[in-house]
Amino acid sequence: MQESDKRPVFEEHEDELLVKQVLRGESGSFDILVRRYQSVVYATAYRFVKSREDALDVAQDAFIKAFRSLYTWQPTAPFRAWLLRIAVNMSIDYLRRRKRTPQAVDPEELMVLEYGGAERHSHVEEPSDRASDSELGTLIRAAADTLPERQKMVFILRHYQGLPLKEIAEIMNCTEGTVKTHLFRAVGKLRDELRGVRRDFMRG
Amino acid sequence: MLFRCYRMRKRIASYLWGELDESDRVRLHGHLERCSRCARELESRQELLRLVDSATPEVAYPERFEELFPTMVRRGIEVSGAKPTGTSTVWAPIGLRQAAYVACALVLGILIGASTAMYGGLRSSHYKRLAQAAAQLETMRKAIETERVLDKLGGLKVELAAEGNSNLFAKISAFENVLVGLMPLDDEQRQAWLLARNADTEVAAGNFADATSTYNALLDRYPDSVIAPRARQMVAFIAKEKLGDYPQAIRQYEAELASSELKETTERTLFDLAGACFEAGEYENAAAAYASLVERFPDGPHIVEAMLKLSDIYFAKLGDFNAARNVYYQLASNYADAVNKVGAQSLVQTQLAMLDDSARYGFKPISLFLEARAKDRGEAFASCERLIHMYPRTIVAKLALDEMAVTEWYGPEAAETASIASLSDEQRVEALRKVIARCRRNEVAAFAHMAIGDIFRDQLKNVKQARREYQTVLDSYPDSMRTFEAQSRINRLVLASATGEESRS
Repeated sequence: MQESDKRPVFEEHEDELLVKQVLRGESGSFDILVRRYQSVVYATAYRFVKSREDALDVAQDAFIKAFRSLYTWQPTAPFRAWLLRIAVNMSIDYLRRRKRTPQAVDPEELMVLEYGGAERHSHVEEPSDRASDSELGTLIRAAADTLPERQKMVFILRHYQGLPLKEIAEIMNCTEGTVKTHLFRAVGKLRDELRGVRRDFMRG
Repeated sequence: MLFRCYRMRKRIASYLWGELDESDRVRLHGHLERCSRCARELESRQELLRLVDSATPEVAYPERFEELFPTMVRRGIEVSGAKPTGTSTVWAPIGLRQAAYVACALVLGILIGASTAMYGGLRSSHYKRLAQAAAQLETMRKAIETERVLDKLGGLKVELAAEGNSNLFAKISAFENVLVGLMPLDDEQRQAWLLARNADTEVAAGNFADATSTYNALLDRYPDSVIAPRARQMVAFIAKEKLGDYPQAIRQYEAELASSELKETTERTLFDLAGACFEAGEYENAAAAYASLVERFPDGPHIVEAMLKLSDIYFAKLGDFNAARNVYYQLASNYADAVNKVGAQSLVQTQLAMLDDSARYGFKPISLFLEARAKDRGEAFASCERLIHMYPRTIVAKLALDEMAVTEWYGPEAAETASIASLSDEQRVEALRKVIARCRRNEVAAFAHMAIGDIFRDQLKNVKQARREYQTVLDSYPDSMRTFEAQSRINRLVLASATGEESRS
C-alpha cells in the first residue's frame, strides 16, 4: 500500500509558521501539526512494529519527543521528514527493546495478522485464499525481519509507505544514492529469502 | 558483473518505484534489450514486489483514531511536562474564543463528567477505554438535542427580558451563539437563527417594535425552524409587557401551544398566556390556561403563583367559590412549604377559613360581600350592614365590618386599594367609632363595639376600656345577638383580674 497516496500537500512554510508559534508558547498550534501528520506517523510506526497498540505508543512518543526537541528543527529540512525520522528511530528502538523482552500476543494483532492480507482485496474471497495469503504474509514478514536494519528501513519507507527516495534520504540522513543501494540490496535479499516461496505461490 | 551492469542496477532500483527520469529510462531499456542478465534481474525483482504487494495488509487504525489521537498526545505532553525548549509554559493562556469553548465544555462536562474522567488514560493500553469514553460522549452530545438547548436558553432570555436585565440578556445571547455554532443546524435553521439574533439585539437595545417585525419576518419565512417557538414567545412577551397589545400576545402564545408537542417551555407559555388573558379581561380563558398548567405541570416552577392566581380568578372574577376553595385546599395541603416561601400562608388560610365558613350558607355571605365591594360608597356601606345583619356570626361579617371601617377612615376612593391591616390599632378604634356613628342597624353597632373591645383587650392591653365597650353592648343593645358574647368576655376579664390580684398578693 502506498500511504503517500493519501498525503495532502502542505506548504512547508505553514509548518515553519506553526513551529514558530509553538516555540512562542502557542501550544495549540502543535495540535494542528499533530492532526496534520498523525496518520503518516502512526502508519510508519505500524509498518515497523506491526501492532495497533505498539504503533499508538510509538506514534505518541514520537510526537512528545518532537515537541520536546522542536527547537532543534531547522527549516532547511522539511518538517515531515524530520518528524518521520523521529518516528522511524523510535520504531527501531522499540523493536530492539521488544526483541530483548518477549511480548504476549495481542489477540487483536493476531486478527490483523491472520486476515490482514485478505482485507486489502476488494473482491470476496474464499477462506482458503485468506489462509494462503496469511501464510504468505507471515513468510514475507519473516523474510523482511532478516534484513539489516537500514535496508529494512528503506524498504518499509519506500515500498509500504511510498515515500519518495529524496524524502527517505532526508529521513535517514544519507544520500539518495545510498538509499538506492540499500533498496536494491533489500529487494535482492528478500528475493533470495523468498525464492522457494515465490515458486509455490506463483504456481498457485 | 560488468561496470555498465553495476550502474544500471542503481537505475533498476529507481525504475522499480517509478522514480527514473525519461533519459535514464531510455538508457535502461536500451541496456535491458542487450543484457539478458539485467533483464532477468529486473523481472525477478518486479515479480517479488508484486508478491510482497499482494500480501501487504492495510494499516490497521484504532477506532476513532483521527479524533482521539491528538488528545492522547496532548495529555502525554502535559503529564510528561515536556516543553518545546525556549518557552516557559507548556500550554499558553487561552484566548477569549477558546474561553468560550471552555465554558461550553464545562457545561457539557456536567453531563459527561464520568466519561471525561476516563481521559486520564495515556497509553495505548488505555486506548479502548478512551474510545469507549468518546463513544459515550458522542451519544450524550447527540442526546442534548438542539431544540431542547435552544428552548432552555430561549426561556431564560424571555425571563431576563421580562426582568429588564439587558446586560445578562446580551451575555446569554453570546453564549447561545457559541452553542449554536457547535450544533448541527442546517442552512435554513442557521438563517432563522441569524434573524433571531438580530431581533435579540433590538430587544437588548430596547427597540421593541423593530424586534417584533424581525421576529415576525422569521416566523413568516421559517415557521418550522427550531428557533420559531422562541420568536413567538418573544413577540408575545413584547406585545404583553412592552406594548400592552394583549390580543396579539394571546394569539402568539396560542400559536406556540398549538404548534408543538409538550416541551419544557410549555409551562411558561401557559403561564404567560393566562397572564395575557387576565390583562385582556378574558377571565374564563385565563382560568382555563392556569388550570391547564396546574393539571399538566404540578411540579413546574410557576405552580404556586398559578394556583394563587387561579383561585383568585375563581373567587373574585368568576364567583366560582367551590372551585376557589378546592384550589386553596390543594395549596394548603400539597404546597404548604412553597406557599410559605412566597409569604402567602396567611392569605391561603384566611381565604380557606372564609370559604369554609361561607360554604355553610351556600356561599351567600361571600357573594353579598363581593357585590357590596363592587358598589359605590353609599351602597357598599348599606350592603355591608345588611350582610352583617343577615350573617352576624360569619367570618365574612367580620370582613364586612373591616371594609366599612376602612371606607370610613380613608374615604371611598382611597379605600379601593387600602386594607384594614394598614391602620394602627388606635386608627382602627377611631374608624370603628365612625362606623358606629353612621350605621343604622343596632346589630352592626354592637358588632363594632365588640371589635373595639377586642382591640383594647388584645392589642392595647386596656382591660378597663375593653370591659366598658362590652358593657355598652349589654346596656345599649340588649336585643343584639352579641349580648351573650359580651357577657362572657366581661366574666373572663373579671376572672382574669381576680386571678392576677390573687397571684400578686
